[in-house]
Amino acid sequence: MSHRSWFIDPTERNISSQGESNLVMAPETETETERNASDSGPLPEREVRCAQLVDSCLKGSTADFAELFELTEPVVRRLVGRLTGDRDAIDDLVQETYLRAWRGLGQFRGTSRFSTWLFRIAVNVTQTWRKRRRPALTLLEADDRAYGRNADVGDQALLDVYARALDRLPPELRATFVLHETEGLSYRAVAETLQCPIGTVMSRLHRARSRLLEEIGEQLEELRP
Amino acid sequence: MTDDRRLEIERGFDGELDEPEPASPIDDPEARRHLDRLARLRELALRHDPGSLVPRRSFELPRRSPRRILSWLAVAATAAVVTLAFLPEFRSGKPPRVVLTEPTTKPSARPLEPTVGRPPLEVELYGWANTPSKPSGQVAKLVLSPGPSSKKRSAANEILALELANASRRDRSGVQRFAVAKGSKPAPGPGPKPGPPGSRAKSSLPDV
Repeated sequence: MSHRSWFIDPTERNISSQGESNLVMAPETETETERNASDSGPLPEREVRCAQLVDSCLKGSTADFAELFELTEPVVRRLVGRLTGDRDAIDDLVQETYLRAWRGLGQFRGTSRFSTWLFRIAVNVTQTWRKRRRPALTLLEADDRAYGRNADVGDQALLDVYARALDRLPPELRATFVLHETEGLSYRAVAETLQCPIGTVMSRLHRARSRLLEEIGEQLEELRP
Repeated sequence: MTDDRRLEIERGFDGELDEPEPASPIDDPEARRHLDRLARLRELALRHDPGSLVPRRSFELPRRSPRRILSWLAVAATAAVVTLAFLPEFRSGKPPRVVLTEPTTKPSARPLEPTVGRPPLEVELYGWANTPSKPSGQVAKLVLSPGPSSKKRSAANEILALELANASRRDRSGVQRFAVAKGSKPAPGPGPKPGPPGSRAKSSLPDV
């Protein structure tokens, strides 16, 4: 079983038609009990640095929290953006995520990776936001959304269809799909983040893919390589 | 293809299979197609990245038409020109120029010229004003005569008519004058008494 690091840059991800992804594999190890169930191998450098910074933050260093923020903010921002699909709300939600992280840092027991813990907060924050927001985006707003620097101009229409289909997914399916497909988390990491069994992750992922393929499967042929 | 088979293909696609798949999915066209769609879906999901952009409101200008922008630029340029034109005057310390809006009593050196398109009454008045003797009591009667046309008399015509009436009166009875404005008095010195009430021409204009 291979795991992918949450620090992997999606642009570096090389997807082959056989479904093998050439990724920088990283083990998902944490505590002694979890280490036995996870892959063996060294922790990513940034994950190690995060652990050190969390320790110093718990001793009262606010400057280290700033460094922790700089180290993790791009990934959290990307996740929040994909979970919400609303770039106007991203700043507020990222800020709320780090506020909750700062307040709850004392409750971080170190039984999982800091990234997993932070992702869990981000997912909770975005799901709360989705419950409170308007029930559906208007057509005009959906057309006006942007999809990031990775998007080709010719694929805007397809990305728009994808964004709408993603928006229609139930929150738990959407979070599972985004965490695994775009953030590169393994089944186990997704299960830890969402605090559910691995089997649930697998079934949610399968359902999310089925729904998305049902809606946009025919149009995927138009995607430019 | 069964749901279990798809799930198995997806686990292989995700690299989450405990054991390598016994049969290669490439041998199965349907499985190969499903894998291809999974790969395309992942590619699309990776391209969807709203978080890589700054919020829309902070960097995008509101939509304005070029015409509106040009009009704003024209207004701004006019304001700048006016400001620059008056700036030296303000800096020099001179008192600002005053534009007189009240009519002066000083007679104009230039004779009045009738303009094309004026009403006939005004043309007659201008003609009278340009004559040196100004003995036109007929014109004064014409101007002051009641009727619908008197409602349309302008302030200038009214004053001019009073002057005409005064001139006509002078022609008949020497220095007798009609009051033009409130508070005006007959010329001092000996002279004939003013006429009976009703013989004075009064202005129908409001007092100033």
